[in-house]
Amino acid sequence: MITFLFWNLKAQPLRERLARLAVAHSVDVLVVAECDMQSGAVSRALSDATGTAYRVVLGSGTALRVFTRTPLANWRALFSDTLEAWLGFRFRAPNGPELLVFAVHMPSKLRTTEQDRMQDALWLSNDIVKLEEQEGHSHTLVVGDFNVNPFEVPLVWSSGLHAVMDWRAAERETRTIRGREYGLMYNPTWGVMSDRTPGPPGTYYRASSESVNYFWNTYDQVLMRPALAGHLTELSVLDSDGTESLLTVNGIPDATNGSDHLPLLFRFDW
Amino acid sequence: MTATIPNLWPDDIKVDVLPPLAILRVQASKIHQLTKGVLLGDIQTLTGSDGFVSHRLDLIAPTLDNRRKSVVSVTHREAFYPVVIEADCYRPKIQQQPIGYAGAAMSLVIGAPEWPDAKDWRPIADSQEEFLRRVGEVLKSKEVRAVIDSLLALSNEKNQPAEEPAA
Repeated sequence: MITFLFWNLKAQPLRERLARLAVAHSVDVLVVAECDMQSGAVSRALSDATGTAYRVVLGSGTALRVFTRTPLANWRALFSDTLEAWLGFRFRAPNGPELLVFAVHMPSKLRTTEQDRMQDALWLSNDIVKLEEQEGHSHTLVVGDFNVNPFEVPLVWSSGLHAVMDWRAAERETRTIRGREYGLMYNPTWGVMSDRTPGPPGTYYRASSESVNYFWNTYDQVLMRPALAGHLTELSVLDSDGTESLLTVNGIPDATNGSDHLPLLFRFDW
Repeated sequence: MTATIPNLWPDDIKVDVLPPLAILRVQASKIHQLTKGVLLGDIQTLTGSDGFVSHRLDLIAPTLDNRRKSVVSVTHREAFYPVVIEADCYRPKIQQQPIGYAGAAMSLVIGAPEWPDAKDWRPIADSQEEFLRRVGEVLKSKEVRAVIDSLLALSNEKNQPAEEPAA
């Protein structure tokens, strides 16, 4: 089994809370966005709290980083985007297959247009396919803050991430549109949205005065090729670091004492 | 007597203007020469929605399992100019004001926002001369230099022969 956690830290000094999460959920791989703490300080906090050595993976970005307690020799940096919006790694999961892991932090919706977001999704999709061809497999998972919801165009568009909510729909692996084949991804994050699911209704809350307002957004997601879908055993949005709540008394992310995003936890079993 | 009608065209029109892609291709081949083959340059092109064409210059380190780092992306429409240039050296390093979430919402009503957006942080080159200047600025930036030196150092480290075991 291998456990991943993704959290957008909103440039807050949250290493102690990160360490509590690592202990509470026995996390093997932590992917963090908007991390402006020293990697050494984060690694030390994780190692001290868990009693196992965590280190930053070579090829991590300035703010988008990967920490792990798996051997660093199992990791190889393969790709970094111009603005470090996504990073690609080869990762040999202990007792599991070789994976392609993409860590993602797409530019904020507040600073991009719909065209920018579609163009970014197009490039990310292109880089995924290129690395899959290079590595000779499609055991690919893509995790991070996409800054769009699972139902928005960059995520579902065939030339973009082409990620669907149903594993069985993704199982066909490709879809042909006007004679061109597009690979499918499975997006299980659909399953943790709304107040009718266990846990918080989303990962990010924004009450705006605009005419279209979802209040809760699920920008933090994990996508995977169908080859991995059957191995996913758990996916949840966390509302506690194991000791303290990550929410305010009103039930929204406590940005004053934590991040305005909630962490995403998922596990695979081989 | 008729008045002399002046030339109203710009004085600096050149006839040897090239598409942005051709300029990037030359830079991609030059890095191979400059690093004696340790690094390769690769150009990728994607055609997106609304006629946008994007080119990206990536650096590849073959000895590092083809580790790839993209250093500059440029986007234009069917016409080659203007070109929008995206690179780490231009990225705002401090939190900037949103360019307008309200504007994005408005686009649902009135159509796509204006392109290129002059208020955006990404510079716009309206001519080949400006494009050459900007791309030069990116490739000579400290951010790209750090990428080149890191990839070279890692490649050289990997190429070094293993140390002899102590007798």
